[in-house]
Amino acid sequence: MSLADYLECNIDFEGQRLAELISQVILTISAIVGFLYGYVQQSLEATIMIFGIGFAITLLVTLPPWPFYNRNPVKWASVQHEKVEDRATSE
Amino acid sequence: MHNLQQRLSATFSFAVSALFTVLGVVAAISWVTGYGTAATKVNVRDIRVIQSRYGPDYFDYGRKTSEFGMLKFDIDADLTPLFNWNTKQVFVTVVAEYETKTHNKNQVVVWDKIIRDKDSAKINLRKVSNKYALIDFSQKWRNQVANLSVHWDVTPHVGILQNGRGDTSSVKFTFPKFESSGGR
Repeated sequence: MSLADYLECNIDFEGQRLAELISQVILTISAIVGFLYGYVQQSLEATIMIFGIGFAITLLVTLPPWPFYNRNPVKWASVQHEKVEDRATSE
Repeated sequence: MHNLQQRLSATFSFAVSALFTVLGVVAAISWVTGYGTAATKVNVRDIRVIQSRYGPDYFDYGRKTSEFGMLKFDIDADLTPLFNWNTKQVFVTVVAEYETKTHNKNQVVVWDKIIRDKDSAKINLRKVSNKYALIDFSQKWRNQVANLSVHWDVTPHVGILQNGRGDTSSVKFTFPKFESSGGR
């Protein structure tokens, strides 16, 4: 296995949907909270800091292939040798 | 989002979109509300007019001579209202404005300062000399009426540059007639 294979970290289709939803929700909330807090405190630095913390949390939650992203693995159909042979003979 | 690179890419691009939306809202708010005004006062103490040459060397006969206004003035300005969450710095200038027969609007920047934080936004200076040469286009200052005022440019963190000016009518002064016998 090459290094690229170790960095693949695949998740299943339901996990992909969940990861996208989680990342967008956390980032949107941290943007809104950061904006409001910065406006109240009159500090744009606070806005950027809160958003940065939200971004770090998002990366921590969505990047690694956590087990809850792999709860619906794709069930592949089993290999059917006979049919392949049939088609090969019919042609 | 199926592998690590895709998740990193998607998360980062959404984060950049969200951050720029926030900064766009911040810029729009600053654009709509503005930065308010500051209380400023310039008081002229002393005016002299001397004749000299341009440049550092008055003995450089290749340069033209001109009449220079030499000022001494007091500045009292409280620029703290200009500092809000979207103020990076404030650039303050003292501008001399006057009208001549040939040119109806003349502005000469006489003094300037960059203010970086709210703590140093209160300016109380006494007997300040002009930082920059006060020369008219005609190179003459014959009984010229002019007035001094404080102008400011607010540099925001995000958004458009905005400027403003303090009271101008309070200070008026006349350049005394230049005495050729006393000049250099």
